[in-house]
Amino acid sequence: MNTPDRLHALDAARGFALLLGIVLHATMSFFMFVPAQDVSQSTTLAVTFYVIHLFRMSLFYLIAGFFAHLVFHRHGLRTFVRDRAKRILVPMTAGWVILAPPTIAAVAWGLSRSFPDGPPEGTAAVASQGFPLIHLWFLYYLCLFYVLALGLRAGFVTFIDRSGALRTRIDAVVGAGLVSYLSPFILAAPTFTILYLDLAWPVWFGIPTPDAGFMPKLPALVAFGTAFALGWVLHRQAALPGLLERQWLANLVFAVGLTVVCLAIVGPVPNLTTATVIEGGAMMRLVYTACYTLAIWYWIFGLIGAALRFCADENALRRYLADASYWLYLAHTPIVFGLQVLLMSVPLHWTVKFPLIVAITLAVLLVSYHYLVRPTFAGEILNGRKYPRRRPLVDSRASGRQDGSRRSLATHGPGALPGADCLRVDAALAPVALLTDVTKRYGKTTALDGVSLAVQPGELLALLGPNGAGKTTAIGLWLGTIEPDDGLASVMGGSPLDVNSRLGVGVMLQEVNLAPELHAREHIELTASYYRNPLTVEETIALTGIESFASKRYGKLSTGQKRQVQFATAVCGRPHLLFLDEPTVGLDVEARKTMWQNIRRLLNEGCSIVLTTHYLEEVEALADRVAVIAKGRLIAEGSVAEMRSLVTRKQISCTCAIEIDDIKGWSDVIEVTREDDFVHITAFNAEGVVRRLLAADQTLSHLEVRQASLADVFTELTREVA
Amino acid sequence: MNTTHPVTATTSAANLAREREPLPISRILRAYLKEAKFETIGALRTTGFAIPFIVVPLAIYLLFGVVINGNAGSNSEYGPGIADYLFSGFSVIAVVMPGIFSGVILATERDGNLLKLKRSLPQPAGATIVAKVLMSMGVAAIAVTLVVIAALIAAKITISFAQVAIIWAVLIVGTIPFCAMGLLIGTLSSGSAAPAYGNLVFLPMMWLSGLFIPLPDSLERWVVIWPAFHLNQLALGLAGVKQFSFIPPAIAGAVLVGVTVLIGGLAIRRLARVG
Repeated sequence: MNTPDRLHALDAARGFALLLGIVLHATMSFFMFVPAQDVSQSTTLAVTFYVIHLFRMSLFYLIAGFFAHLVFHRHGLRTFVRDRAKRILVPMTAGWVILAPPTIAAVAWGLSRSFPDGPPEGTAAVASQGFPLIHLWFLYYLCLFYVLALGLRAGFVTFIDRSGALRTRIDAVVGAGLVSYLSPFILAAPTFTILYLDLAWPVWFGIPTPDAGFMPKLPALVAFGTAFALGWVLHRQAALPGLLERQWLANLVFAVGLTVVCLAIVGPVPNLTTATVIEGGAMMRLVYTACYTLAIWYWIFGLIGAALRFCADENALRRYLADASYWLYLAHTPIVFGLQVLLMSVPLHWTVKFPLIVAITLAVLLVSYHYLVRPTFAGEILNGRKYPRRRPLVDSRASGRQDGSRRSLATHGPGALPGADCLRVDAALAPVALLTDVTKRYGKTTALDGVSLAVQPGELLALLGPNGAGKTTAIGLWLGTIEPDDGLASVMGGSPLDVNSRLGVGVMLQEVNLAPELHAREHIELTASYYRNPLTVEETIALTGIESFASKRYGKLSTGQKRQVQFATAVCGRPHLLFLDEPTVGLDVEARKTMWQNIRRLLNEGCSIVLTTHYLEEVEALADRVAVIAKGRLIAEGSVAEMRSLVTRKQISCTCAIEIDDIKGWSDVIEVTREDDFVHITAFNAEGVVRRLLAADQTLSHLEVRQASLADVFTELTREVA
Repeated sequence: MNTTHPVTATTSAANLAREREPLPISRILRAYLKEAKFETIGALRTTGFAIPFIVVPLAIYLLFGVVINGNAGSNSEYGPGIADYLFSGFSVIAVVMPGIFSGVILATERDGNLLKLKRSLPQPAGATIVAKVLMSMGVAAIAVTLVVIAALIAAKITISFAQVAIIWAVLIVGTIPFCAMGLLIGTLSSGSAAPAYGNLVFLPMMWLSGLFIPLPDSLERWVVIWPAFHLNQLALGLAGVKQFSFIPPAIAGAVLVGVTVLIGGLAIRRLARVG
């Protein structure tokens, strides 16, 4: 029974039942006085209410029972309880606090407008008694059913049927009963008995809505409980759905027929003063109750059958509406009731007002759902997941398919190095971090422009570029602190915005002040608590060599020591992927060596590292691969050896009398500039150029030769690109 | 330097998916508790935070509530009950201060990019805020307990021990709306400006809520705009101190819940956006 298409169908039916609730409540002012008595009364809408009300909640509870059984048996008790607490208990409690005041206020406002001189005679019985659960009673009863189901099941499994043999036999009996034509009669029997015996039953309104008071009401408990219980066992019945699907039309025809009989007996509009009386005496009451309770089951079977028949395929719009229906139903009452009260005296026909109320309500709620619920924590609570606003941040490309990452990596800027595509890619391994065609803008500045970049398992990727090139933006995208305007970012195969994706990620950022009053070991203990399988505090301290100041307050440490503590917190969670942003700035030689050792050890153990630094020797010592970003674009990418060919050029500075135009003509000289007395020369073969300089000018002084800094090279590269 | 634990395992797509499994709820709870624990330890070690907020309420209560007005009961129009009102008023101050000034810590952390770092780490959602609220409640609990002890020993309060206990408990929980205000200040201002903004809110509220000084009529009708007034009313109302319950505790409670939801919501929203 739990194939995906059937789940789609049932989810659609569940959403349908909830959305019908909005229509149901919107009809109320057109034939009764709660929440308001409209000037335009409608028999059509009264019948609409009658029909929807007849089956709606039973349908809902049947599907709820089905999904409860599914979640319980797939994921176990703990997940079930956690999931239900989050998706039922939290919305119920929070929903009540938020919705009860405006809902009750709208009803009170409507009543006071409808009856300025107090409510009419005989309506006291309709007024609610006890705690106003409002329409959220359906969640309260759902919780009751969960508790009952789990309690009964636990008792049954522990005391009666340890082996499961009895359950198999019960399944067989239930299965046989359900597929027989008798099933609606068997299922209707408990509710029939309860309602028929209850002489105070307001017959037109069917199963009395238990929205007042926490004390469970017997009719609701029995009627909806039967539906829930059937849903629970339905999950174990393989044959029934097929049958329902085949018989959907026949069941619906029966349902309509029985409903017509009921309406003929009780009348199309409720009589609120004689709500419990049926003309024709006890016999007619018997017929009515039987038809009504049978109709419930024929409607349910017919509608579920129709859903299986027509809504089994996956459909994006239906999926969206099914997801949205929970929010829509939860939040609709104040809006629907408020609109009914507002419009009650407006001299328009109900055929105008009723669609208007439904349309405005749906529009407001859908917009609020799309922008305030779906992409936020509220959506996570109601739908069980958060949908990102723009587009899914992880798609098949980001989930580790090598072909995707290769293709994206081939899109380099025109300044790309030869051999830049010779990536060390092991086909069995998935990239641990990916940027795919990512663009990020800040106002008019484009910080990253269509950058694609992958970090392979176990490699150290050095991210280089001048200040403001976009390195920090790239890292921020991977860390989830910024979202791309376009393209996809992923870490550990998931969205960086998802905290679970970051469970494998360690971070050391630039310019971070940890809490100054905490000791280094306390910082490690705190950070380690975020991770699944962290190192112990002592292991981390020993590993990173910070024993001598581990028990000092962070605020009292030197700059270099602070960086070492930050490094320790970055590695304490045994990350698979480590981001190191300028890690060795401010470190003394000894500390830098220790950190290099640690970085090498992490690489040997399979950790992937993304390193940004301005120290070329650090890149040469540690990196497997280098990516150069400038002006928001990836302009070069390759191995260290390939990068080294770029930085063989050197800077020569001196004071001398030689004209710079002469020097420009020399071989190996790339560029010459003059600044006051100083001449700055960029050249490939620095030794040869220096020899020639010394020969050409005996008075030459202040000679200095240095390797061109990476920043120089990259600035130059960007200039070439531009 | 020697450890037997490999830091990481080989990374395949299946391993990656396994690594993304959520942590068990017990571990997440533990992370929240650790965050709260170290937040509190940090705050208590920050002399500029803990000392003034723990000692100052006690000191001003002893000075104004006990020494200067200790015998106010005999000549006050309110009778001996005035001692109870002074007690609850100064106790409110004891919880308002750590609440509002928790924003200073938040602002400093924002300046130091600490929140950005925490957002990049797998820190459970909202742990920073939860920790700040619990820390404020902890500091408030210490401060208000000291005032309670002083009142029981030195002041001529007429309410029962049980009523004092109710006021004590209500006030500690009542730190939350002020913490929400503090967090909003912390998200809007820099670390150096936050104390000034905090005082801009705290000082007028302390004087104009009618907690311990009689206000002129023109100001008295405006006490209802200050959350501190409502917290005082909630505590007194729930403790059954009828003489000084001017509004129903349900209304006072509703106002405080409203303040928490509205201001706290704004703070959380801003924090989620700007970090």
